[in-house]
Amino acid sequence: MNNYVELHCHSNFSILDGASHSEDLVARASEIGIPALALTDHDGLYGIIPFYKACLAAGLKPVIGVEMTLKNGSHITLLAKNNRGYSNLCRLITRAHLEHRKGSPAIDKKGLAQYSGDLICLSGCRKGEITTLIASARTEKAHEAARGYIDIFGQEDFYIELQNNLYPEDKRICHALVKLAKDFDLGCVATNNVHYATTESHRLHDVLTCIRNRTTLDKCDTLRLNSEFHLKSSKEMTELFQEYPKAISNTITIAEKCTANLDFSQYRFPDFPLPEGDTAASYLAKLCWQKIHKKYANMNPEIEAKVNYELNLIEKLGLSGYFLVVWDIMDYAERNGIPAHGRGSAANSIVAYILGITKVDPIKNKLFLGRFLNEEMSSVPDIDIDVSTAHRERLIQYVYEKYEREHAAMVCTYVTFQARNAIREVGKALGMPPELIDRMAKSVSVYDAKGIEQDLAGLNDFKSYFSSAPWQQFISLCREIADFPRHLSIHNGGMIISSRTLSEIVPLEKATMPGRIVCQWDKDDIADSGLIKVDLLGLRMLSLIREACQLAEENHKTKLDLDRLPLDDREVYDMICKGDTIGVFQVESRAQLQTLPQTKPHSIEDLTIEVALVRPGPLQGHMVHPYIRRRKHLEKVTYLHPKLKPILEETLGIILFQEQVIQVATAIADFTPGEADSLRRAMTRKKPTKAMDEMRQRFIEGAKRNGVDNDRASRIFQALEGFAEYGFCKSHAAGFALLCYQSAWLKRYYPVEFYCALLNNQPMGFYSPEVIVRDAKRHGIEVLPADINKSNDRCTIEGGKIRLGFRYIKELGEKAMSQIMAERQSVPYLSFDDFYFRARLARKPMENLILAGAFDSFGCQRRQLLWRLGPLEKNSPRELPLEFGDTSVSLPDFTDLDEMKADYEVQGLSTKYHPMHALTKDISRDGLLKSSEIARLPSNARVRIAGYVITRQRPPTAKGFAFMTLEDEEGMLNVIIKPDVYCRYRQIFKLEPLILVQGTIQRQNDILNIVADRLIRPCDEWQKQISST
Amino acid sequence: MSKLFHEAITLEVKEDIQHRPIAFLYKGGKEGVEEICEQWRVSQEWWKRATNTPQDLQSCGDPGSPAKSEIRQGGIDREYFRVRTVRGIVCEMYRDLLTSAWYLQRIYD
Repeated sequence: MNNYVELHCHSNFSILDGASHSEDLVARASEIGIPALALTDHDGLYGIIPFYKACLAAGLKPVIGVEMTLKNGSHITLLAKNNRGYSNLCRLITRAHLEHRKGSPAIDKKGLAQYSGDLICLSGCRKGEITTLIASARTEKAHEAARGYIDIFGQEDFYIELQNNLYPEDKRICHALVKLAKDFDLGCVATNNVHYATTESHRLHDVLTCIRNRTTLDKCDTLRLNSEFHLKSSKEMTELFQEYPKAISNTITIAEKCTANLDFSQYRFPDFPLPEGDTAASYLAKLCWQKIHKKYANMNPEIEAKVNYELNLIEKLGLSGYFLVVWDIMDYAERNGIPAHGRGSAANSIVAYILGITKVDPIKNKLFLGRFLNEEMSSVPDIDIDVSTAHRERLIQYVYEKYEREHAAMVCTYVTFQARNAIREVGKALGMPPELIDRMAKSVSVYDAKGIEQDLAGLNDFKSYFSSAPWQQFISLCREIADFPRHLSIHNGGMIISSRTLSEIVPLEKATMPGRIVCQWDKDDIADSGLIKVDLLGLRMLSLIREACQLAEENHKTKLDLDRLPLDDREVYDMICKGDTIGVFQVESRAQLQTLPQTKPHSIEDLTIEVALVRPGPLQGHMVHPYIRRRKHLEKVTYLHPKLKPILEETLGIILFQEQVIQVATAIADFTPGEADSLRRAMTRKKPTKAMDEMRQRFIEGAKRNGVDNDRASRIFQALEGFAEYGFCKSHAAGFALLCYQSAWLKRYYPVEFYCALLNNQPMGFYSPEVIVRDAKRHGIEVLPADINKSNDRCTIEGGKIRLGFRYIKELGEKAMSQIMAERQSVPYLSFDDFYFRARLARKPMENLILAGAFDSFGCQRRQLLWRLGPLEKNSPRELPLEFGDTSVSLPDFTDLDEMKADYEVQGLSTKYHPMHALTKDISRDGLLKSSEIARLPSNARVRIAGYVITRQRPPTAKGFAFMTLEDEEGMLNVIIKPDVYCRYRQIFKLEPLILVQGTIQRQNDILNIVADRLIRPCDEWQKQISST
Repeated sequence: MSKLFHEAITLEVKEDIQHRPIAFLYKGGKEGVEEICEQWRVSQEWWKRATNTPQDLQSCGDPGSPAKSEIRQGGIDREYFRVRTVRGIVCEMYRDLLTSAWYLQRIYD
C-alpha cells in the first residue's frame, strides 16, 4: 500500500548538492509507487518547471516547495499549499537572495512571518534549528524555537520533521523530537532528505560535494556518512518509522493539502501607458498610419490591405500592447542613437517594419506573415531585438526604469556539465593527475559528456587506461554528471516583463554583474510557463558598423547612412564572390569562403539565400550541393508539383526557408496558416510524434482533394520533413543579409576604419585578432604596435594606419590605461624613466608594455628596459633619480624570435611577425611550398606545405571529414582531412598550432584544396632533419 | 567510558532475517542481544574499492609498474549496531556489507 509521499527532495538544481535530474526523481517515484512528490531545492525554484511537467506526465502529484536557509544558518522545509502560498515562496526566496551577498541567501524570522501565509513548514533536516538544539540536548531552547515557528505558521501548518538516514543518533533524535511534538500538540512527518534517486548515485553526490568544496575525495571531510539519501519506497520508510506510523500517514495528509499549480493564465504583459481615449489597438493603428509614409512613399491598396489585416490580427490575438512595448524600446533606441533591429520571424510583419522594430521590408523581400502571426496561434510570438553590444546596457536600464525593477528581470541560463568541464571537474575530485586531466580535456572532441568514452577510445594516448577500474569509474561519473547545472548565469539578452510583481511569479536573485537581477528560470522554463520575454541580444556587428561609420565620418569628413545604402554595388559583390570576406557578417566562415566563389551572390536576395544556405541544417539535409549545381546551371531546376514553382522559384526548387514549409502545406494540402505552422513546429521535434503521423495523413488527404496523388504528396511531405528540422527563417536571413552587405560595403570602401572597428569589437565572428591583423596587412593596411605616447585604450587610426590599443596588452586594466592617457595629456612621456615615475604602474603591466614594444619609440632595447625596471622599483616617488654605476649592464637585445614570442605572450598577436617565422627558423624550407606557389600548381600535384592553423573543424555533418585553414606569410589554404587520416593524426590536428601537411592538390569548381595524407609536428620534422644531417 | 578496538575483533554472530544480531560469541561465552539501542550505516571511500586508484592512472601505461594495480584495496560499507546484551553489556558491532563478516568495534563499561 502506498501510504508515503516524499516531502523533502533535492534535484540537481540544489546545485552541486543534488545528484539526480528532477525527471529521474519523478521516474523513480513512479517506479516505486509513490503517488506524489515534493521538490525542495535549496533556496530556489530553479528546477520547478521541468519537475512539474515531469510529474504531470507521469501521473504524479507535484508538491512545490523549497528548503530555505535561515539567517542563523539553519534549514527549514516549506511547501506551498496553494497559489497564494506559491507566491509567498517566490517572495521569500527573492528576499533571501536580494538582501544578502550573492550565493549566500538567507531569510530572517521577520521575513518568514511576513510571507508565511498558505505555506506548510516542516522543521527541517539535521541542520534544522529544532533538530540541532535537540541533538545537542538543549531542550528548553528547542521548545523556544518551536514556539517561534508555531507563532509564524500556526499549529496546523507547522510539523516536526523526522529523518532516519541510518546515522548514529538518528533514533534518539527522532524520539526526542516526537516528545517535543507531543508537548506542543504538533504533527510529525517523516522525510528522507532525498539527494538522489537511487542509492548508486551517492558516488556522484560525493563527487559533487568535492567540486563544491574544491577538494578531492581523499581530502574531503564533508562527505555524507552513507548512501541512504535516496528515494525510498513506502515499505522502506514504514519500516524505518515503525514506531511513528502517524509520521508516515501525515505525508499523505500534507500532500493532499498542497494544491499549488503553475497556472499563469492570469499573468499579463505590462499595460503600455496610453494617451487618453485610446486603446492599445487604436494607438498601435494610429502609430502605424502616422509612420507608414516613411517606409512606403507610394502607398497602394495592397500595402494598405496588408497593414489593415495585420493590425486586426494583432488586436484579435491580444498582442497590441506587446507590440507597443517593443516599439517603445526600439523608439528609445532610435532616439538615443543605439543601433538595434528586430530579428527572427518578427521581420515578416509589416507593422513591425513600419514601427521601426525591423529593418527588412516584408513586401520587397516577399516575406510571409504566417510564420510569425496567424489566427490559430496558441502562444505569444517572440520579438527578439539585436542591439549593439556596446549600447545594450543602456537599453536594459531603460526597460528597468520604464517598468520598474519589480516588474522586469533578466532571464537566467544554466552553465551545465559538458564533456570538457566534466573531465576537468570530475577528474579533479577523483584526484587524477592534473596533466592527464588537461590532456584529456584538450583531446576530447565531443560536446556531450556522455560521449567521452567513445570519443577517447579512438586515441592511443589513453588506451592503456581503458580496462582499469578507476577509468571506468571516471567515465561512468562523467556520463552521470552530463547536463547537470553547474552554475547560474545571465541569458544573453532575455528580459521578462510583467504587469504583476515578478517576485510573485518567479524568484529573483542577484547576478554576478553589479546591480543586475535575474530570475531563477531559463528561457525554456519561461516559455513553458507561458510568460513573455523580450530578447535584447547583444550583436557586436552592430557595434562594429556604428564604430566604423563614425571613424569614416571623422577621417573622410563625410556623412554615412548605411540604412539608405543602395544594395547593388557591383564591387561589393565582386569582393564577396572572391571569398574576400574575413570580418564580413555571416559569410566569413571556412565553409562560406568555399561556397561564395561558386554561388556568386550578386544581389541582396542572393545574400539572403547564402546566409541561410551554408549552415549545418541545409548541409545535413543535402540541400547545399543541389542548390549550387542548379545555381551553376549544371542541374535542371525541377519542382515536385507545378504549384510549388511560385513558392520555391527563388531558391531554385530547393526548400530552404521555414516560411516555404508553411506555404507548401497551404498550397498543396489546403492547410490554414496556423495548421501549417503547427506542422512546421511538429517537424522540428526530433522524435516522431503521434501528432506528426496525423499531420502526414491530413496532408496526404488534403493534397488528394487538390488532385495530387498519394505518391507525389508523400514525396512532397518527405521533402518538407527532411528539411524542417534544420530550416532557417527567411525573414531572419534577410535581416542578416542586410548586415552582411553593410559590413562588406565598409570593408570595400573604408577598409582601415573597418579593420580598426573589427579589432575594437572582439571577440566576434570566426577569426582571432591575429588573423584579422594579417588580413588587414594583405589588404595593404599597416598595423602599428602599441606606443606609450600614441596608443589609446582602443585601436585608433593614425595617418591611414591602425595603431594597436592598450586593451590588447594583458594585465593592463581600465585604471592603468586611463592613468597612462590622463598623465600624457599635457606633456608626452619623454623617456622610459619619465613614464615610470609619472604613470606609476605595477610591475606586471610595466613588463607587458615593455614586451609589447610600447617603449620602442624611445629607441630602447626591450631586455635592457626589463633590467632597468629593477633599479627604478627601488626608488620611492619623491627620491631624486640618481644613477648608480652598478645598475647599468649591457644585455643582448631580443632576437626577432624573442620579440615574436613576447608579442604573442602579452597581446596574443604580433604586428610584425607571422608565427611561421618560428618554424622557418628551425626547419629547412627544402621541399616546402608557400601558399602562393601552390596556387600555381595543377590538380593532383603532390605538395608539402607548412602553416599556422587558423581554423580547425570537424562538423558532425561532414561524415568524419575534418578541415583546417592553414596560413603562411603569403596567404591561406584550405586542407581537407579524410576520416582515416584524421584518425591517424587526430592529436596533431587538435593540438598543434603549426602543422606540416603532405598531400595532393584538389581543384574543383575554382576552389583549391589540399587533401592531406599526412600531418606532421614541426618538432618531429626538425628532429628528422637534425638526425639526417 | 568505553574501549575502542582499533583493529576490530572478528565475531561469530547469529542474525535474524534482516541481518540484525540476535546473539554472538564473546570470550568463549554466548551473549544474547536484549536490545538494539542504535543502528547506523557507514558507506565510505567507495573510490578505493577499485584495485587501484585514480591517482595511479598516470602510471597505468608505464612499463614496469604493474604493481600499481595491486596497490590497495579499501572502501567501507558497514552496518553498525549498538546493542545491550542480556547480561547488560553494551557494545558496538558491525556487519561488513561487502563480506558479510561481523566485527566487534567497541565495548562500553
